[in-house]
Amino acid sequence: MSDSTIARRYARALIEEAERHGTTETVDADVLLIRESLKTSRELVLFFESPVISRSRKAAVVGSLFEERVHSLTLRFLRMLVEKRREQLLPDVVRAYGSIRDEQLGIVQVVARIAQPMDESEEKALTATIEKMTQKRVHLDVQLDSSLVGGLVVRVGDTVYDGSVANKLHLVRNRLGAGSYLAK
Amino acid sequence: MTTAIRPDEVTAVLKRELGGFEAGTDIYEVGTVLQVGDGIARIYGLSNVQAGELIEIPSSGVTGMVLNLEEDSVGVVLFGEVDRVREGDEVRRTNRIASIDVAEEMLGRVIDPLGNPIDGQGPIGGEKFSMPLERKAPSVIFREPVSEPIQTGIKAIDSMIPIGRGQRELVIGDRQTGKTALLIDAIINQKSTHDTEKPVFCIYVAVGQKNSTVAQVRRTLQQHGAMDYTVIVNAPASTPAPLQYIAPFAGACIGEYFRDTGRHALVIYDDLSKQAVSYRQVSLLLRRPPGREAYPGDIFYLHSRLLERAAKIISSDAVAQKMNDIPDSLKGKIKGGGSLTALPVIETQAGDVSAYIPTNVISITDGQIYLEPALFNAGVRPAVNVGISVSRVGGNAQIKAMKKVAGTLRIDLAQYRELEAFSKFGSDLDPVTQRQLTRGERLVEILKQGQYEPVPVEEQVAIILITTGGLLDSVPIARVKEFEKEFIERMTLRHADAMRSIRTTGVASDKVVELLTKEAKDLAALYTEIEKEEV
Repeated sequence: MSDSTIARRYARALIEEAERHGTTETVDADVLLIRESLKTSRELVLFFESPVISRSRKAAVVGSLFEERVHSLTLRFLRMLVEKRREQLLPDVVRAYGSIRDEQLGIVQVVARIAQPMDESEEKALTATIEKMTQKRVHLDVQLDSSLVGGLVVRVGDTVYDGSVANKLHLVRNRLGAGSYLAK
Repeated sequence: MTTAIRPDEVTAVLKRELGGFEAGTDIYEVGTVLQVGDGIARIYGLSNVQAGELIEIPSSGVTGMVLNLEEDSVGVVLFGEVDRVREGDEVRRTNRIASIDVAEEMLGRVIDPLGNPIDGQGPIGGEKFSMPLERKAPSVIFREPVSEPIQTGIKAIDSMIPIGRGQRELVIGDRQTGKTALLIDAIINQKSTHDTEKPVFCIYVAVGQKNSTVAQVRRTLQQHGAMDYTVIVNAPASTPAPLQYIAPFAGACIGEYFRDTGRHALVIYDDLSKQAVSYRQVSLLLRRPPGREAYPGDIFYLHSRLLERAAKIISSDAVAQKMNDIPDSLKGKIKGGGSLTALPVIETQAGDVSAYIPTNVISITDGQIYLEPALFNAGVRPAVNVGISVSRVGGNAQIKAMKKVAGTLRIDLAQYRELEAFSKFGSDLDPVTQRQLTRGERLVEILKQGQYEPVPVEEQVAIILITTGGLLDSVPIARVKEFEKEFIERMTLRHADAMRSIRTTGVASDKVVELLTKEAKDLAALYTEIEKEEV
């Protein structure tokens, strides 16, 4: 909880600094790279998390890993995280960065869980519908979930639009059992 | 010949049962459990949730209530099996403010603070009304001054600390001073009201008590036929703190159901000090800042908003129907003239009434009944200290006959207490002092009464009237109880009409007083003579 507050502060600082230098796009790409690296390499996550590895060693590793690949601003940011002993928050910072940028660019992350694979035209239609509803650009993340039986479940922010067969069956059962939330 | 049920028949019935079932998209808001433990959870998400709203965790069936809305999380208290909730579980809004289903058939049952029966006698049937746990008290326009009495059947209380319907009277005292016993007597005494037009329904809320104690209370009430009009809300010491904290609110909304449908109810919160402790636990776990005695800052408001819900509702139906914050389920069923009387209990530590919670509740209520261990141990039971117990509004509700005799009683007792210290000197005292001492001793004696023996109001008036009249002064102190019993027996056998007239008319007419005096004199003479013979 308080961790995410700290992460958001660091993320915002990075964004503001990038804006000042006019390097937002480069930093966006850098953050994406870091996110992908963290996702694919468990070692990297463990390395940042480990309290055993000394700060100077961490700074050296950050230097040799990222020096060639990212903008100097991003590199300085990573070094500062290490120096301030906040490097274990890097995954949170990356996430916070993403959400702040999404907000700035008017993008909503939408997760759609479906029972059967969709073809491209269906996916486009779904995206268009949600964009019309939210008045924002939609980043659709489609996940296959056979437990839904049929239909689809779309989650926009905290709101879930549940059109799955599983949920309907559940509602029918509740209705027949006249089960209230508390009687269960 | 009976024909088998055809499949299409089954389908038709099922279709009818599911009539109106919308097969459209279900829209709900969700969050994720970040952290769970000690009966509370922190939820990420649920961005539009309201404070006090009920939330549900579908994977475990656990429900909870939102208490804290913070910058990036929601603090929730969980009801039920907390162990089954895991980090990362999905949480759903229900869009309903926490409430319980109240039904007429709850009478005679033991329920938990969520309204589920826990006495093993099956589900509660009948029409159910959803009543919110937190509800604003009726505002001034919908109230009436307290005017009708609640008879507790306890002589010391009904005479000197009278309680009216709609009043809030605190019962305060150390452990083992007979607080619960006194309240059980008060419930038992409401039995007589069920023969009248204005029956009083009772709700006994047990917070943080031993289950064995509650079982005993239930049995006692059953034995005295008092369970028929009583609901027990039980949140024993083993239930999670959030449930203990909402238990009095559950009791209040059951009481409100009776109050708002034009009937009379008596709710007993036994006890609010334990509820305050549960609330302190919940608050501290939610990281609310601690204040005095580590209680949160809103502990006063917690108790004041609970006790404000006790009220006498205006008798006009038309006005009552416009009452503020009426739950949807009760709309159209509101009647005026109902009342909710609250008897909260506070347990003090070593007689310390100036601790935080006792002073708070004393200032909220319309008076207090103070029970003292010293009196209890001296054999004065109920151990009511009538000197420091008060009732701020109940006097208006007393019947005239009682008001008249109680005035003398109070003065006589006060004088006795002043002189009590001299009683050791015995015959060295002047006759006036001696007379006052004799009178006082007898008054203290007649105010004693056994457990589960509530006394009807006319008998109370009769015995207090003759004692303050000095007719018992010649009866030896050891035999006062015996005298009282025989006197009441005589009166009910020989002069049933006169006794009834006190109850029905509310006054003791000159004729009745004359009768009482005569009978008392005759009987007292008998007792005095026997005494002389024995000597």
